Amino acid sequence: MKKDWTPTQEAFDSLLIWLDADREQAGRKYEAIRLRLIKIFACRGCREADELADETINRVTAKVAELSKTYEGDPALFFYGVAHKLHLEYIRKISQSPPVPPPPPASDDGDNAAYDCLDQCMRELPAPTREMVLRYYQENKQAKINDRKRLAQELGIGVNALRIRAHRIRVQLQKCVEACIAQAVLQ
Amino acid sequence: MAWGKLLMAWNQNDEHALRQYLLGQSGEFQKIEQRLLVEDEFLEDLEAAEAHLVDEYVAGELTQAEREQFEQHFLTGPAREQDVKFARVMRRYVTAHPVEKKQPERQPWWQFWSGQSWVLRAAVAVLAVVAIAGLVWVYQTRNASFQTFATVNLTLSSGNRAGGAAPVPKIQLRPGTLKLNLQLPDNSTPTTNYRVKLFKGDGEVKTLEIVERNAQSISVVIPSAQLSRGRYAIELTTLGANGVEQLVNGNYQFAIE
Repeated sequence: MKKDWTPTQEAFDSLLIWLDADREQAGRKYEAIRLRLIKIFACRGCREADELADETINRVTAKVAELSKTYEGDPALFFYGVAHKLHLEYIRKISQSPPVPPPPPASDDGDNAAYDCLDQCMRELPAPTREMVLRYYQENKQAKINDRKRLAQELGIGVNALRIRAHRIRVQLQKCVEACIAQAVLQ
Repeated sequence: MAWGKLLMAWNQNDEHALRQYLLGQSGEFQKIEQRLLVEDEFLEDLEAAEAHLVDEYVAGELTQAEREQFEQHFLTGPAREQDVKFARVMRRYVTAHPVEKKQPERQPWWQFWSGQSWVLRAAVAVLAVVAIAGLVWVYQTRNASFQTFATVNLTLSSGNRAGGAAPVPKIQLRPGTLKLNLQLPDNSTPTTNYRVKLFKGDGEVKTLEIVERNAQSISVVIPSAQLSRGRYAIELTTLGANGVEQLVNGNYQFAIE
Protein backbone atom coordinates (compact mmCIF):
# COMPACT_ATOMS: atom_id res chain seq x y z
CA MET A 1 0.00 0.00 0.00
CA LYS A 2 1.10 3.52 -0.72
CA LYS A 3 1.78 5.34 2.48
CA ASP A 4 -0.01 8.70 2.62
CA TRP A 5 1.74 10.09 5.65
CA THR A 6 4.72 9.25 7.86
CA PRO A 7 4.10 9.86 11.58
CA THR A 8 6.35 12.27 13.49
CA GLN A 9 7.68 11.42 16.96
CA GLU A 10 5.35 14.04 18.41
CA ALA A 11 2.30 12.51 16.69
CA PHE A 12 3.34 9.02 17.84
CA ASP A 13 3.67 10.27 21.45
CA SER A 14 0.20 11.81 21.17
CA LEU A 15 -1.13 8.46 19.99
CA LEU A 16 0.34 6.71 23.02
CA ILE A 17 -1.13 9.32 25.37
CA TRP A 18 -4.52 8.84 23.72
CA LEU A 19 -4.26 5.10 24.26
CA ASP A 20 -3.32 5.44 27.94
CA ALA A 21 -1.95 8.11 30.25
CA ASP A 22 0.56 5.56 31.58
CA ARG A 23 3.25 5.21 28.90
CA GLU A 24 4.09 1.60 29.69
CA GLN A 25 0.45 0.62 29.56
CA ALA A 26 0.03 2.63 26.35
CA GLY A 27 2.93 0.69 24.79
CA ARG A 28 1.26 -2.60 25.66
CA LYS A 29 -2.05 -1.45 24.19
CA TYR A 30 -0.32 -0.29 21.02
CA GLU A 31 1.34 -3.69 20.56
CA ALA A 32 -1.91 -5.52 21.27
CA ILE A 33 -3.82 -3.45 18.71
CA ARG A 34 -1.11 -3.88 16.08
CA LEU A 35 -0.98 -7.66 16.60
CA ARG A 36 -4.76 -7.91 16.27
CA LEU A 37 -4.88 -5.71 13.17
CA ILE A 38 -2.31 -7.98 11.52
CA LYS A 39 -4.45 -10.96 12.45
CA ILE A 40 -7.59 -9.31 11.03
CA PHE A 41 -5.94 -8.48 7.71
CA ALA A 42 -4.48 -11.99 7.50
CA CYS A 43 -7.90 -13.47 8.21
CA ARG A 44 -9.35 -11.34 5.43
CA GLY A 45 -6.91 -13.01 3.08
CA CYS A 46 -4.37 -10.16 2.77
CA ARG A 47 -0.81 -11.23 2.06
CA GLU A 48 0.58 -7.86 3.25
CA ALA A 49 -1.13 -7.98 6.63
CA ASP A 50 1.79 -6.33 8.50
CA GLU A 51 1.97 -3.40 6.10
CA LEU A 52 -1.77 -2.85 6.21
CA ALA A 53 -1.75 -2.88 10.01
CA ASP A 54 1.03 -0.28 10.06
CA GLU A 55 -0.77 1.88 7.51
CA THR A 56 -3.93 1.71 9.67
CA ILE A 57 -1.93 2.91 12.68
CA ASN A 58 -0.37 5.72 10.63
CA ARG A 59 -3.79 6.95 9.51
CA VAL A 60 -5.09 6.93 13.07
CA THR A 61 -1.92 8.71 14.28
CA ALA A 62 -2.50 11.43 11.68
CA LYS A 63 -5.89 12.15 13.24
CA VAL A 64 -4.99 11.69 16.89
CA ALA A 65 -4.85 15.41 17.78
CA GLU A 66 -8.49 15.74 16.80
CA LEU A 67 -9.52 12.33 18.11
CA SER A 68 -8.20 12.95 21.61
CA LYS A 69 -10.66 15.85 21.91
CA THR A 70 -13.73 14.42 20.23
CA TYR A 71 -13.66 10.59 20.23
CA GLU A 72 -15.45 8.71 22.98
CA GLY A 73 -15.19 4.96 23.49
CA ASP A 74 -12.57 2.24 23.13
CA PRO A 75 -9.76 3.51 20.82
CA ALA A 76 -9.33 -0.05 19.49
CA LEU A 77 -12.70 0.23 17.76
CA PHE A 78 -11.65 3.42 15.97
CA PHE A 79 -8.63 1.55 14.61
CA TYR A 80 -11.04 -1.10 13.44
CA GLY A 81 -13.11 1.41 11.44
CA VAL A 82 -9.97 2.74 9.73
CA ALA A 83 -8.73 -0.81 9.02
CA HIS A 84 -12.07 -1.72 7.44
CA LYS A 85 -11.88 1.24 5.01
CA LEU A 86 -8.26 0.46 4.21
CA HIS A 87 -9.22 -3.12 3.41
CA LEU A 88 -11.80 -1.91 0.91
CA GLU A 89 -9.06 0.13 -0.78
CA TYR A 90 -6.82 -2.93 -0.77
CA ILE A 91 -9.49 -5.07 -2.46
CA ARG A 92 -9.95 -2.46 -5.19
CA LYS A 93 -6.20 -2.38 -5.71
CA ILE A 94 -5.57 -6.14 -5.91
CA SER A 95 -8.54 -6.65 -8.23
CA GLN A 96 -6.56 -4.66 -10.81
CA SER A 97 -3.29 -6.60 -10.17
CA PRO A 98 -2.34 -10.01 -11.64
CA PRO A 99 -3.05 -13.00 -9.31
CA VAL A 100 -0.29 -14.06 -6.95
CA PRO A 101 1.23 -17.44 -7.91
CA PRO A 102 0.80 -20.26 -5.37
CA PRO A 103 3.80 -20.93 -3.11
CA PRO A 104 6.28 -23.60 -4.24
CA PRO A 105 5.82 -27.04 -2.64
CA ALA A 106 7.83 -27.62 0.53
CA SER A 107 11.02 -29.58 0.11
CA ASP A 108 11.56 -32.84 1.99
CA ASP A 109 14.97 -31.63 3.17
CA GLY A 110 13.36 -28.75 5.04
CA ASP A 111 10.76 -31.08 6.55
CA ASN A 112 13.46 -33.49 7.73
CA ALA A 113 15.40 -30.70 9.42
CA ALA A 114 12.19 -29.49 11.09
CA TYR A 115 11.43 -33.07 12.17
CA ASP A 116 14.80 -33.44 13.86
CA CYS A 117 14.35 -30.07 15.53
CA LEU A 118 10.88 -31.03 16.71
CA ASP A 119 12.27 -34.24 18.17
CA GLN A 120 14.85 -32.21 20.06
CA CYS A 121 12.23 -29.69 21.27
CA MET A 122 9.89 -32.46 22.38
CA ARG A 123 12.65 -34.03 24.46
CA GLU A 124 13.06 -30.73 26.29
CA LEU A 125 9.47 -30.88 27.48
CA PRO A 126 8.67 -32.47 30.88
CA ALA A 127 7.54 -36.08 30.35
CA PRO A 128 3.87 -35.53 31.35
CA THR A 129 3.60 -32.50 29.04
CA ARG A 130 5.19 -34.44 26.19
CA GLU A 131 2.77 -37.32 26.70
CA MET A 132 -0.16 -34.92 26.86
CA VAL A 133 0.82 -33.28 23.54
CA LEU A 134 1.34 -36.64 21.82
CA ARG A 135 -2.03 -37.88 23.04
CA TYR A 136 -3.79 -34.64 22.13
CA TYR A 137 -2.63 -34.71 18.51
CA GLN A 138 -3.10 -38.45 17.98
CA GLU A 139 -6.01 -40.04 16.14
CA ASN A 140 -8.38 -38.58 13.57
CA LYS A 141 -11.93 -37.27 13.59
CA GLN A 142 -14.29 -38.97 16.10
CA ALA A 143 -11.54 -41.01 17.76
CA LYS A 144 -9.67 -37.76 18.35
CA ILE A 145 -12.74 -36.08 19.86
CA ASN A 146 -13.35 -39.00 22.22
CA ASP A 147 -9.71 -39.29 23.20
CA ARG A 148 -9.53 -35.57 23.96
CA LYS A 149 -12.61 -35.81 26.16
CA ARG A 150 -11.00 -38.68 28.05
CA LEU A 151 -7.71 -36.80 28.35
CA ALA A 152 -9.51 -33.71 29.68
CA GLN A 153 -11.28 -35.90 32.26
CA GLU A 154 -8.00 -37.45 33.35
CA LEU A 155 -6.47 -33.99 33.79
CA GLY A 156 -9.57 -32.73 35.58
CA ILE A 157 -10.13 -29.84 33.16
CA GLY A 158 -12.68 -28.96 30.48
CA VAL A 159 -12.17 -29.77 26.80
CA ASN A 160 -11.82 -26.09 25.96
CA ALA A 161 -9.18 -25.57 28.65
CA LEU A 162 -7.32 -28.61 27.27
CA ARG A 163 -7.50 -27.13 23.76
CA ILE A 164 -5.94 -23.87 24.97
CA ARG A 165 -3.31 -25.73 27.04
CA ALA A 166 -2.31 -27.89 24.04
CA HIS A 167 -2.26 -24.82 21.80
CA ARG A 168 0.13 -22.97 24.13
CA ILE A 169 2.52 -25.92 24.10
CA ARG A 170 2.21 -26.14 20.31
CA VAL A 171 3.10 -22.44 19.97
CA GLN A 172 6.07 -23.01 22.29
CA LEU A 173 7.17 -26.01 20.18
CA GLN A 174 6.78 -24.15 16.90
CA LYS A 175 8.95 -21.29 18.20
CA CYS A 176 11.50 -23.81 19.46
CA VAL A 177 11.59 -25.52 16.03
CA GLU A 178 11.96 -22.20 14.17
CA ALA A 179 14.82 -21.17 16.48
CA CYS A 180 16.44 -24.61 16.02
CA ILE A 181 16.23 -24.36 12.20
CA ALA A 182 17.59 -20.79 12.23
CA GLN A 183 20.52 -21.96 14.36
CA ALA A 184 21.19 -24.90 12.02
CA VAL A 185 21.24 -22.53 9.03
CA LEU A 186 23.77 -20.27 10.79
CA GLN A 187 26.04 -23.26 11.48
CA MET B 1 -29.58 -26.89 31.14
CA ALA B 2 -26.63 -27.28 33.53
CA TRP B 3 -24.02 -24.53 33.43
CA GLY B 4 -21.33 -26.95 32.25
CA LYS B 5 -23.43 -27.96 29.23
CA LEU B 6 -24.35 -24.34 28.53
CA LEU B 7 -20.69 -23.37 28.57
CA MET B 8 -19.79 -26.30 26.33
CA ALA B 9 -22.54 -25.35 23.86
CA TRP B 10 -21.29 -21.76 23.88
CA ASN B 11 -17.72 -22.92 23.26
CA GLN B 12 -18.83 -25.15 20.40
CA ASN B 13 -20.81 -22.30 18.82
CA ASP B 14 -17.83 -20.00 19.21
CA GLU B 15 -15.51 -22.58 17.67
CA HIS B 16 -17.86 -23.09 14.73
CA ALA B 17 -18.17 -19.30 14.20
CA LEU B 18 -14.38 -18.91 14.26
CA ARG B 19 -13.92 -21.75 11.79
CA GLN B 20 -16.41 -20.15 9.38
CA TYR B 21 -14.64 -16.82 9.83
CA LEU B 22 -11.22 -18.31 9.09
CA LEU B 23 -12.55 -19.89 5.91
CA GLY B 24 -14.00 -16.51 4.86
CA GLN B 25 -17.55 -17.80 5.15
CA SER B 26 -18.81 -15.87 8.15
CA GLY B 27 -21.59 -13.35 7.77
CA GLU B 28 -20.68 -12.00 11.21
CA PHE B 29 -17.03 -11.27 10.52
CA GLN B 30 -17.25 -7.70 11.88
CA LYS B 31 -18.63 -8.96 15.19
CA ILE B 32 -15.73 -11.43 15.49
CA GLU B 33 -13.13 -8.82 14.54
CA GLN B 34 -14.46 -6.29 17.04
CA ARG B 35 -14.37 -8.94 19.78
CA LEU B 36 -10.81 -9.70 18.75
CA LEU B 37 -9.85 -6.07 19.31
CA VAL B 38 -11.52 -5.59 22.68
CA GLU B 39 -11.38 -9.04 24.34
CA ASP B 40 -7.92 -10.06 25.51
CA GLU B 41 -8.42 -13.83 25.51
CA PHE B 42 -10.23 -13.99 22.19
CA LEU B 43 -6.98 -13.80 20.22
CA GLU B 44 -5.84 -17.07 21.79
CA ASP B 45 -9.18 -18.68 20.96
CA LEU B 46 -8.81 -17.56 17.35
CA GLU B 47 -5.24 -18.84 17.13
CA ALA B 48 -6.26 -22.19 18.61
CA ALA B 49 -9.05 -22.41 16.01
CA GLU B 50 -6.48 -21.58 13.28
CA ALA B 51 -4.20 -24.38 14.47
CA HIS B 52 -7.13 -26.79 14.55
CA LEU B 53 -8.13 -25.86 11.00
CA VAL B 54 -4.55 -26.28 9.79
CA ASP B 55 -4.42 -29.74 11.42
CA GLU B 56 -7.65 -30.73 9.69
CA TYR B 57 -6.25 -29.55 6.36
CA VAL B 58 -3.04 -31.52 6.84
CA ALA B 59 -4.98 -34.61 7.95
CA GLY B 60 -7.20 -34.38 4.86
CA GLU B 61 -10.30 -33.98 7.00
CA LEU B 62 -11.71 -30.92 5.18
CA THR B 63 -14.39 -31.27 2.55
CA GLN B 64 -13.50 -30.36 -1.04
CA ALA B 65 -15.23 -26.97 -0.69
CA GLU B 66 -13.52 -26.26 2.65
CA ARG B 67 -10.18 -27.24 1.20
CA GLU B 68 -10.63 -24.77 -1.67
CA GLN B 69 -11.66 -22.04 0.76
CA PHE B 70 -8.67 -22.87 2.92
CA GLU B 71 -6.20 -22.61 0.04
CA GLN B 72 -7.72 -19.48 -1.49
CA HIS B 73 -8.69 -17.52 1.59
CA PHE B 74 -6.74 -18.84 4.56
CA LEU B 75 -3.40 -19.88 3.10
CA THR B 76 -2.21 -16.36 2.38
CA GLY B 77 1.21 -15.23 3.44
CA PRO B 78 4.38 -16.94 4.62
CA ALA B 79 3.29 -17.15 8.28
CA ARG B 80 0.40 -19.45 7.52
CA GLU B 81 2.43 -21.47 5.07
CA GLN B 82 4.87 -21.95 7.92
CA ASP B 83 1.99 -23.09 10.15
CA VAL B 84 0.98 -25.72 7.60
CA LYS B 85 4.55 -26.92 7.32
CA PHE B 86 4.85 -27.21 11.09
CA ALA B 87 1.52 -29.08 11.28
CA ARG B 88 2.79 -31.61 8.72
CA VAL B 89 5.97 -32.21 10.72
CA MET B 90 3.99 -32.44 13.94
CA ARG B 91 1.62 -35.00 12.42
CA ARG B 92 4.53 -37.08 11.15
CA TYR B 93 6.17 -36.96 14.57
CA VAL B 94 3.02 -37.85 16.50
CA THR B 95 2.28 -40.77 14.14
CA ALA B 96 5.83 -42.08 14.71
CA HIS B 97 5.50 -41.77 18.50
CA PRO B 98 2.24 -43.45 19.50
CA VAL B 99 1.36 -43.20 23.14
CA GLU B 100 0.04 -46.37 24.66
CA LYS B 101 -3.58 -45.74 25.49
CA LYS B 102 -4.49 -46.10 29.11
CA GLN B 103 -7.43 -48.35 29.74
CA PRO B 104 -10.15 -46.17 31.18
CA GLU B 105 -10.03 -46.78 34.91
CA ARG B 106 -13.14 -47.86 36.67
CA GLN B 107 -14.54 -44.75 38.18
CA PRO B 108 -14.95 -44.77 41.95
CA TRP B 109 -18.57 -44.23 42.96
CA TRP B 110 -17.85 -40.86 44.58
CA GLN B 111 -16.30 -39.59 41.34
CA PHE B 112 -19.39 -40.75 39.47
CA TRP B 113 -21.57 -38.73 41.81
CA SER B 114 -19.32 -35.68 41.73
CA GLY B 115 -19.85 -35.65 37.98
CA GLN B 116 -23.63 -35.47 38.29
CA SER B 117 -25.72 -32.32 38.47
CA TRP B 118 -26.46 -30.90 41.92
CA VAL B 119 -30.20 -31.40 41.35
CA LEU B 120 -29.74 -35.14 40.87
CA ARG B 121 -27.37 -35.35 43.83
CA ALA B 122 -29.83 -33.47 46.07
CA ALA B 123 -32.74 -35.68 44.94
CA VAL B 124 -30.78 -38.87 45.64
CA ALA B 125 -29.70 -37.53 49.05
CA VAL B 126 -33.32 -36.74 49.99
CA LEU B 127 -34.45 -40.19 48.81
CA ALA B 128 -31.68 -41.83 50.83
CA VAL B 129 -32.69 -39.92 53.99
CA VAL B 130 -36.36 -40.83 53.46
CA ALA B 131 -35.46 -44.50 52.86
CA ILE B 132 -33.32 -44.64 56.02
CA ALA B 133 -36.02 -42.91 58.07
CA GLY B 134 -38.58 -45.41 56.70
CA LEU B 135 -36.42 -48.37 57.63
CA VAL B 136 -35.90 -47.00 61.15
CA TRP B 137 -39.66 -46.45 61.51
CA VAL B 138 -40.48 -49.97 60.29
CA TYR B 139 -37.85 -51.44 62.63
CA GLN B 140 -39.17 -49.51 65.62
CA THR B 141 -42.78 -50.32 64.83
CA ARG B 142 -41.93 -53.99 64.43
CA ASN B 143 -40.06 -54.04 67.71
CA ALA B 144 -42.82 -52.14 69.44
CA SER B 145 -45.38 -54.71 68.28
CA PHE B 146 -43.41 -57.43 70.07
CA GLN B 147 -42.71 -55.41 73.17
CA THR B 148 -44.84 -56.02 76.23
CA PHE B 149 -46.35 -52.75 77.30
CA ALA B 150 -47.89 -54.16 80.49
CA THR B 151 -47.81 -57.36 82.54
CA VAL B 152 -50.80 -57.85 84.75
CA ASN B 153 -51.52 -60.63 87.27
CA LEU B 154 -55.18 -61.59 87.31
CA THR B 155 -56.95 -63.75 89.84
CA LEU B 156 -60.01 -65.80 89.17
CA SER B 157 -63.10 -63.98 90.32
CA SER B 158 -66.20 -65.95 91.19
CA GLY B 159 -68.57 -63.37 89.70
CA ASN B 160 -70.13 -63.41 86.27
CA ARG B 161 -68.73 -61.64 83.13
CA ALA B 162 -70.42 -58.45 84.12
CA GLY B 163 -68.11 -58.27 87.09
CA GLY B 164 -68.17 -59.05 90.78
CA ALA B 165 -67.19 -57.13 93.84
CA ALA B 166 -63.39 -57.38 93.31
CA PRO B 167 -61.78 -54.30 91.69
CA VAL B 168 -61.09 -54.69 87.97
CA PRO B 169 -57.53 -53.77 86.88
CA LYS B 170 -57.48 -50.87 84.42
CA ILE B 171 -54.80 -51.00 81.76
CA GLN B 172 -53.62 -48.12 79.60
CA LEU B 173 -53.52 -49.25 75.97
CA ARG B 174 -50.16 -48.77 74.25
CA PRO B 175 -48.44 -50.26 71.19
CA GLY B 176 -47.07 -53.75 71.82
CA THR B 177 -48.55 -56.71 73.62
CA LEU B 178 -50.35 -57.11 76.89
CA LYS B 179 -49.16 -60.01 79.01
CA LEU B 180 -51.63 -61.52 81.43
CA ASN B 181 -50.59 -63.97 84.16
CA LEU B 182 -53.70 -65.93 85.09
CA GLN B 183 -53.74 -67.40 88.60
CA LEU B 184 -54.92 -71.03 88.30
CA PRO B 185 -57.66 -72.52 90.53
CA ASP B 186 -56.49 -74.26 93.70
CA ASN B 187 -57.53 -77.67 92.41
CA SER B 188 -55.37 -77.36 89.29
CA THR B 189 -52.82 -80.08 88.64
CA PRO B 190 -49.73 -79.88 86.42
CA THR B 191 -51.33 -82.25 83.95
CA THR B 192 -54.54 -80.27 83.51
CA ASN B 193 -54.85 -78.75 80.04
CA TYR B 194 -56.60 -75.43 79.59
CA ARG B 195 -58.19 -73.49 76.81
CA VAL B 196 -58.27 -69.71 77.30
CA LYS B 197 -61.00 -67.58 75.74
CA LEU B 198 -61.18 -63.82 75.67
CA PHE B 199 -64.54 -62.04 75.76
CA LYS B 200 -65.51 -58.43 75.36
CA GLY B 201 -68.96 -57.67 76.66
CA ASP B 202 -70.98 -60.76 75.77
CA GLY B 203 -69.16 -61.72 72.59
CA GLU B 204 -66.10 -63.97 72.27
CA VAL B 205 -63.13 -62.18 70.76
CA LYS B 206 -60.74 -65.06 70.34
CA THR B 207 -59.02 -68.06 71.86
CA LEU B 208 -55.67 -67.14 73.37
CA GLU B 209 -52.52 -69.17 73.16
CA ILE B 210 -50.79 -70.06 76.39
CA VAL B 211 -47.20 -68.84 76.20
CA GLU B 212 -45.96 -69.76 79.67
CA ARG B 213 -47.08 -72.11 82.36
CA ASN B 214 -46.05 -73.02 85.88
CA ALA B 215 -47.74 -74.75 88.82
CA GLN B 216 -49.67 -71.63 89.90
CA SER B 217 -50.38 -69.72 86.71
CA ILE B 218 -50.53 -69.62 82.96
CA SER B 219 -49.60 -66.66 80.82
CA VAL B 220 -51.18 -65.35 77.65
CA VAL B 221 -50.33 -62.36 75.49
CA ILE B 222 -52.72 -60.17 73.52
CA PRO B 223 -51.47 -57.81 70.77
CA SER B 224 -52.63 -54.24 71.34
CA ALA B 225 -54.11 -54.27 67.81
CA GLN B 226 -56.74 -56.77 69.09
CA LEU B 227 -57.71 -54.59 72.04
CA SER B 228 -59.82 -51.49 72.32
CA ARG B 229 -61.30 -49.46 75.13
CA GLY B 230 -63.71 -51.48 77.26
CA ARG B 231 -64.06 -54.25 79.69
CA TYR B 232 -62.81 -57.81 79.02
CA ALA B 233 -63.24 -61.19 80.59
CA ILE B 234 -61.20 -64.36 80.21
CA GLU B 235 -62.64 -67.79 80.78
CA LEU B 236 -60.77 -71.01 81.30
CA THR B 237 -61.90 -74.41 80.10
CA THR B 238 -60.26 -77.65 81.19
CA LEU B 239 -59.72 -80.32 78.57
CA GLY B 240 -60.27 -83.78 79.88
CA ALA B 241 -58.44 -86.88 78.68
CA ASN B 242 -61.66 -88.07 77.03
CA GLY B 243 -61.93 -84.81 75.10
CA VAL B 244 -64.65 -83.37 77.28
CA GLU B 245 -64.35 -79.66 77.98
CA GLN B 246 -65.40 -78.22 81.33
CA LEU B 247 -65.74 -74.55 82.08
CA VAL B 248 -63.88 -73.37 85.16
CA ASN B 249 -66.10 -71.42 87.53
CA GLY B 250 -65.44 -67.71 87.55
CA ASN B 251 -63.38 -65.55 85.16
CA TYR B 252 -60.55 -63.05 84.96
CA GLN B 253 -61.49 -59.48 84.31
CA PHE B 254 -59.66 -56.38 83.17
CA ALA B 255 -60.49 -53.12 81.50
CA ILE B 256 -58.66 -51.27 78.75
CA GLU B 257 -58.57 -47.47 78.89
